[in-house]
Amino acid sequence: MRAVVERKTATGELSDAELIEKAREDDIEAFEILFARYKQKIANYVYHFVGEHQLAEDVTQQTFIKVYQNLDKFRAPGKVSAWIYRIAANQAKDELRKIKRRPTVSIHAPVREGEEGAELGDLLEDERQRPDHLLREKEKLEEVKKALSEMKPKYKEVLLMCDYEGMSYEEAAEAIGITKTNVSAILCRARKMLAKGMKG
Amino acid sequence: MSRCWRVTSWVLSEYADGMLPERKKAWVEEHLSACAACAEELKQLQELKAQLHELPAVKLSSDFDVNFKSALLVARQEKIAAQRAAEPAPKRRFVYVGIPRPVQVFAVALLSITVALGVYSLMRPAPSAFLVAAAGSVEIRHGMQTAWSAVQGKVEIAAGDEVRTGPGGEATILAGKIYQGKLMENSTWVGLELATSAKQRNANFVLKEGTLMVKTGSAFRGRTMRIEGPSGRANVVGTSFMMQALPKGETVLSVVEGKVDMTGKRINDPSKVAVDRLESAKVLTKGSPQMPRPMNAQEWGALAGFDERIGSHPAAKKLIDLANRREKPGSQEIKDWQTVLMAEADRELGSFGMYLLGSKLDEVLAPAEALQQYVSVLTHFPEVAESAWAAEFLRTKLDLVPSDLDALGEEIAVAEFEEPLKEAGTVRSLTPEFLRGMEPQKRFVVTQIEVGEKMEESPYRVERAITFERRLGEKNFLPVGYLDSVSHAKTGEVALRLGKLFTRDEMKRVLEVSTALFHPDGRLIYTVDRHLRYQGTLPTGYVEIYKDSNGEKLATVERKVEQRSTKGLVLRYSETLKNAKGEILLGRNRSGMIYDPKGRLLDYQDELVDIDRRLALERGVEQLKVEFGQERLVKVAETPLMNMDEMMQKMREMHKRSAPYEIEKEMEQEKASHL
Repeated sequence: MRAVVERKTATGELSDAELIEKAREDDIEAFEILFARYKQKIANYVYHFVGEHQLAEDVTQQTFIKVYQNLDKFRAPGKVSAWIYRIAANQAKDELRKIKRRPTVSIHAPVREGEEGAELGDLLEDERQRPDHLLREKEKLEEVKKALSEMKPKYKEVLLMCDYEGMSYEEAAEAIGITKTNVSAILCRARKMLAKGMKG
Repeated sequence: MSRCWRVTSWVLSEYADGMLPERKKAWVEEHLSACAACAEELKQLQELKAQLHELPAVKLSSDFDVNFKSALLVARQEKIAAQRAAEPAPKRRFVYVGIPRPVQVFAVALLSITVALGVYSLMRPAPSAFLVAAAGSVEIRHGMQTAWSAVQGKVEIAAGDEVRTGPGGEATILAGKIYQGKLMENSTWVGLELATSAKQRNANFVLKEGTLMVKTGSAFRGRTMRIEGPSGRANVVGTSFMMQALPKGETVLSVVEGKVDMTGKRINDPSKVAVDRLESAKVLTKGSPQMPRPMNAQEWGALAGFDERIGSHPAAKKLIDLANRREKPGSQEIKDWQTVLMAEADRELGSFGMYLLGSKLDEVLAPAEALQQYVSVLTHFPEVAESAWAAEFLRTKLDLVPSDLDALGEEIAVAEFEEPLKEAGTVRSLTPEFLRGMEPQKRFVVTQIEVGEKMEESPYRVERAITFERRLGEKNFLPVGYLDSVSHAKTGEVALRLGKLFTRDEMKRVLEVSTALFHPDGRLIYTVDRHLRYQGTLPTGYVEIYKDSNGEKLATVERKVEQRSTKGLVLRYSETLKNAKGEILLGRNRSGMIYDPKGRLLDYQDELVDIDRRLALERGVEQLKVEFGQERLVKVAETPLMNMDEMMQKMREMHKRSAPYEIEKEMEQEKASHL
């Protein structure tokens, strides 16, 4: 599970809420720490939401700028992480609404986690990197991506929060602003849609 | 396996997430041990969850953090400005404590200044650069302060300071040998980071309004500079340039030396242009950067006083010398240099040439000769024709307004162009012999064409038999059409090509070119109507409509240039090919991946480049594919020219092969068979 940092850590790092508090007092470094803490998580989430690398980077950047601009609007005891995810999801939905593009697979998509620098484009170019198992994995991955790209944002949002980010129903409910029961119902339908999309 | 009705998917989903209460969980577990269908569904659900959880992390680009930091600094600056605007003006309050009023005021003021200076000196970043007020009104606002103070002479500046100039105001920003900037009148500049210490190596500026010119120095090496305009952002790597924040919220970048990248500030817009020396690029409000174009006369004029290198171009130097020596009008030397100038006009010196012509040659050239130069350049360089200087010139010397040039072009396209055709009688009589018998204004033969950066032998010999021109003034002409004979170098097969040019719509930035290809026996093979879209002098894309001899539409090709090298070479484009019904047969995105109409991947072509189809047809190939390695031409491949039937057949074949990944699979199999 991708743990969501909220409390002060054992190493004495400032908690998210403390960083927000400092950033409100124009401590730009505090905000940069918060950015460093969440940028990869948000970028991953947004990337699978919008399906395009460049767009994901733009939306991630825009998300944190929104967070910065609205620091005063964050209300404790709400979770900072949930608030950031909520802004990211809204930004991503806005962008998808704007472009309504056909599903595409970016050639710059990394092939697998941890493979530094290995992009889909590299593998397409280099046949030595194309054993069967890699192809099958890639195909599976493509199936998931394709099915995700065809899913409505409402379902994709919950699915990615719970099954990709590993959020609990409570965390997802807080981030989206719906009830726990709704999260459970939407998640169940989203999983069915994904399975159907992968088969089809 | 049929679905079990006793346990719903919802319950299974919650069970898989560990969300069921103990009693219900025990019941589901008991059921799962007995029901194979539910157990299978749970297994699939868990696999799905695992697959989702294993989705790859996105690899953030190397400049992601820097980009964000820059955006954050701008957001911070905007936030501070908004806070300042919302704050009420400070009220002075003094309390009488038995000290005479003047003494009290003095004491409080002294205390305030002392405290303010103390606090400020603690908070203020180390000063490292200087501001020199050169002329007129120049004001500065330090860091978080709200008040502006007038600047006279030289003051230190630090990160976070904001400088503004009033009408007639001018200020210089000096950072030792690292860089120097010149802020022109009515400008506002913020130095978020100054890049002046060993630790701080990034310069981050915001140009809110007006004009800033920058020259980097010898100590700039290893540093970066980023300037935010209202709509565009410039990334600098050692150079001399000017940035303008125009009142409409547009940003214009003009580069004298080096290369500066320009990006838009719109979200979801990865487009970036590299602005090379002697080029300018504009970003419209909320727009993408436009293709770089040669600097225009105004930009040259503005920069002439800032960078001495501007006048150092050999052709420019010579012209200035000639002008200064008051060479006799019409002398051979002037003619020679006019030729040089016109040749250069196609490259980097075009608009500077106009600037020189406007400012110098009027004095020395005979009016008719100067006129000829002006008109030639004006008709070839729309952005020069649009300038205020050109409008003034047209009004005073030709009694025209810029749109008249287009109207004249339109008139000839309709009237004079048809004359030779009437004379020819039938298409059959439009033979090379017939064309040679006419009195051509211009005649030239194309045996080589430009492919990328090198010239190649063409398999076709194109003989430009005649170019139709519309007379404009006594000696000037606008080209409006042409007739070619095209013969294949090997087979000797001949075709005639008839082109109609320059029905130009400046407002829409469209150049329309219609071409018809005839068989020498008189049959019309096909026609192509091209609508070329322009920004500056560079085409940004076009629509081609292919029609058969009955005028029936065969196919439409829409192409958009996505990325261009600084030399104007097409690096990336997007393309769609539609049939007569308007259905998309093929689409190609900017990554070079080809999709069928349902969005399924057919093929990929990374870093492939198609040269302009017009050149391809002239060269006798259906498509030129050029691979680039670090912007250098490394390989040229070609396929034979097809007629329309073959082309349509090929399209149909490709359309059939639309099963997902079919081509990829075929390639896999092919590769496997070679292993």
